[in-house]
Amino acid sequence: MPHTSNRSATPKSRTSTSPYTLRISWDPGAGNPLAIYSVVVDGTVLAQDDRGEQSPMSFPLSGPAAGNTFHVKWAIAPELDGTKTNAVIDIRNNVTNKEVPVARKSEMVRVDPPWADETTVNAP
Amino acid sequence: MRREIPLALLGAIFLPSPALADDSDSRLQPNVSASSSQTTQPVSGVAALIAPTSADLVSAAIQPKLTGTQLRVSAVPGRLLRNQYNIVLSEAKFTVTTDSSTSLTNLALSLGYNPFALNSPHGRDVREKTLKRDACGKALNDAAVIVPKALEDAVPAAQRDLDVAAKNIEVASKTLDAAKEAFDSARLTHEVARALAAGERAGSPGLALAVKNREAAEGTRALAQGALDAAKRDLDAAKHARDAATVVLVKSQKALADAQEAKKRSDAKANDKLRECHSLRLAHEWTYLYSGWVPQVIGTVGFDVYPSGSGPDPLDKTGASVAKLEPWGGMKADVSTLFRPSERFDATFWGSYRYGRTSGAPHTNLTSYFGGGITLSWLALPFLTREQLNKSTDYVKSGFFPGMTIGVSGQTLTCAGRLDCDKLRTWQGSITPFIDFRASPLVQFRLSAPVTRFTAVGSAGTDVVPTFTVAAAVAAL
Repeated sequence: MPHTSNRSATPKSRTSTSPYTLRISWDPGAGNPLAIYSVVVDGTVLAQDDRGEQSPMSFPLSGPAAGNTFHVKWAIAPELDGTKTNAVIDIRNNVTNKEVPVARKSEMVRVDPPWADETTVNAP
Repeated sequence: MRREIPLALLGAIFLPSPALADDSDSRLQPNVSASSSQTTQPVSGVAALIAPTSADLVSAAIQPKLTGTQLRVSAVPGRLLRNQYNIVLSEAKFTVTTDSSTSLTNLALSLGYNPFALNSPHGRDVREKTLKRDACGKALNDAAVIVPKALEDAVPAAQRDLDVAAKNIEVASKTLDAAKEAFDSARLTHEVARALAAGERAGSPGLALAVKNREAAEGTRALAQGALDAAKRDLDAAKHARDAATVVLVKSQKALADAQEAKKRSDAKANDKLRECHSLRLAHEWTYLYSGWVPQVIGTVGFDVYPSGSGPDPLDKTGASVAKLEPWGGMKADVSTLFRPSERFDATFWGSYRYGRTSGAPHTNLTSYFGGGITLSWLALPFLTREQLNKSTDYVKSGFFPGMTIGVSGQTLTCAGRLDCDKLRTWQGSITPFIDFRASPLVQFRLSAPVTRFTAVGSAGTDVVPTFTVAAAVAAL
């Protein structure tokens, strides 16, 4: 029996004084909403079944996990047909103004499977 | 960038009917559907909408007639701005219709609101509704499996224990070597001391010292023996600790690998579910979009133009003189609403006004026409079950619902001009039962049989003109 456990899907608020912010930017960013199925950072659900109306969307983060890293997991998809959407996810340190890219995806269309993946990045 | 421009080529084959052989205008009727994925071919009848409700960026229709051909081209520039929806401007449509059988050219502008567009306010509500209802993200997060941190921490801890055990073995080995060396030395010293003691004669002065040395050497040897035994025990204990740490490490590694494998399998399954959920959600969007009481409302104004110049004077029976043609054909306006209370049923209501003339011939007069109609259609025989439909590419992409539709259109047209009315008809009414076969967005057929009753100046009558219509579309660059 594998030693695994299910994580609660209840979105949690992350109010902290951390300088870190996760951003989702996409192009075209006006009038081209995204379905934000899920954004999870270090096990905390930042967004779930939400709509991103205007690019960029920002989510405040608490500090990085041990090892000075962020584990980011996401699932997003364009809402409207006929528009090829390019998207970028990054983490920004608002004190140092440094950013670290998490992932990018080009030419997403509505009927494609959602862009879903996860990765670990060092804190900027 | 490649852009698909659906170009609808609509052809109509009319079964011969002498009574309406030249009655071309009466066949321009409203659409049964506002969806660009379903036929835009109008239902035959007596009251014409100026511009059928095509929603494509560019569309064209060619309608062959017994006495000529009608070409209709329409453009909806708002389709270029897919990301912006303006309730009026996004549906602005320009339509040009030319008819070689009547030499009539009509230019029209339509404005309105299309709730069946995904980017419309209604479409936004529907998208929000399906996002929350299908909750693909919640399902994904609920299914998410994580590897417990304790498992991840156990492996390096076991490794550390193993490293410590290895160091302990190394230390114990060195201690053992030193103990062995000390023991060997002590044993040798003891043997020498014993030999010396044995060589002394009894009573000799060196005997006591030799014995003392021998006893001391015996003590040292015993101590070295003890140290050696202890070192051996320590080494054995360190080896046991190493073996135990190795077992713990292997178990931890296996547990971690199992957990990671389980997470991998779970993630793969969750991603598959997400894809299914997303696709189903897109299907649900069309289901909701096409099931409501928010109507599409389109208003259209247009004007008719006939060729200018001069032509034979109809008042001159000799045909020798010419008179000025009438290029101004008048204006038209209509308002239509389309309801789709359920996905398989739609209803169109429209009213129209036209102030026009019957042709561009000299001495024809402008007169008023009032018309209107109702078209009801029901998708009686779906070709796919709901489950199949939700997985259908055409449905997920555009909401196309294949099946056989039955419907009826009732239309009426009144003319106030008596002798200036088209074919002197002061009133016309028609009932048109029809059947649509919607095989795919590209291939659709319609069989209809308009039955027209009319009252003309000095006469009255009934016409029946069965029609068979084929609608097709091609994708162009």
